[in-house]
Amino acid sequence: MNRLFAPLNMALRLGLAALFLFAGLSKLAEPVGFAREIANYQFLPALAPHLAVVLPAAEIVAALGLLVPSSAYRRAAALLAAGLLASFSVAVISVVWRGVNIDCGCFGSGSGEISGLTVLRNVCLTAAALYLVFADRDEGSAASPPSDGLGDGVGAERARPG
Amino acid sequence: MMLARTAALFALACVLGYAFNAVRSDGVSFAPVVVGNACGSASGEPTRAVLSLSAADAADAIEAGSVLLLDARSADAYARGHIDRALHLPCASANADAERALDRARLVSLVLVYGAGAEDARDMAEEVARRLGPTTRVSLVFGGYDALLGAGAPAESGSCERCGSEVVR
Repeated sequence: MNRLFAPLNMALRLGLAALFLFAGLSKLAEPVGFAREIANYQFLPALAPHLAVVLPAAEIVAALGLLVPSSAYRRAAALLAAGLLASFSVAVISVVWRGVNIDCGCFGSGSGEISGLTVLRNVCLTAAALYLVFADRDEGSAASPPSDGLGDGVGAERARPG
Repeated sequence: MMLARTAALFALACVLGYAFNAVRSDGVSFAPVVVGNACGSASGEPTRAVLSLSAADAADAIEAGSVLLLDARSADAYARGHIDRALHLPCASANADAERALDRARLVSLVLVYGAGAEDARDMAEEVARRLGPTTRVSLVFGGYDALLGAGAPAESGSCERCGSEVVR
């Protein structure tokens, strides 16, 4: 059964990694503009410069983490991605709720306005990242090592002391 | 254990993010970020001075057409009454709204900005003039909304939900 889902897991992992890498690099290219985009959310504006520094790096780390051979770190990266996406979802829902008309800043400057579709996209991506957190766990519980070439499973991790 | 790994990845991201920001020349300063609004005080660029137009001349220009009116008053004041077809664009507007209004402004030969009185819309008018550049004439209506009404400019009422970004799109 787990093998049936391996291609889906791989596709989601690669897709999320590519998306996060692109988003992180786009924001990294224009940090001051990204800080202003965050401040436009009118949501903890004092934190905007710090978020502008940390978020692109967190996205890149999550993207790279989704590609490492160790499933333990892949799941951790998926959880980090899910946390980031959930935070982004809260922010865009708040903007839609308050009727603030601003650019998303999701992929740096010029990413387009926030709308209901932005919320839907973020919720779907959060669900995909959360799925990966649990899918990797299931994959690793199989008796044989995972055959997708991505390295150790959770079963192997569990067998380790500590 | 997974939570600890996730926290470790996030901590690594924080360290890398701050370190990279420290070494790059165009990094973020940690001074409070000024929210970019329609008056664009975050831009740091000098504004362009605008000339005032009398309410009577402004009313004539409105009648002649090819004019975009920008109402820089509060949302409540706009809802109570505004000059016909004026877009609501106070300084507190989001940049996205301002850009849409400016896209419209680029299609006309004259932009008239009015406030509640003689001078309160000057910041908005100067910022609009700065963003539009020298190709579009921007004028501040001397005396504001009341003077325009007195000069016979047509007025209508309605909430901002029917105007601003909705109208500009």
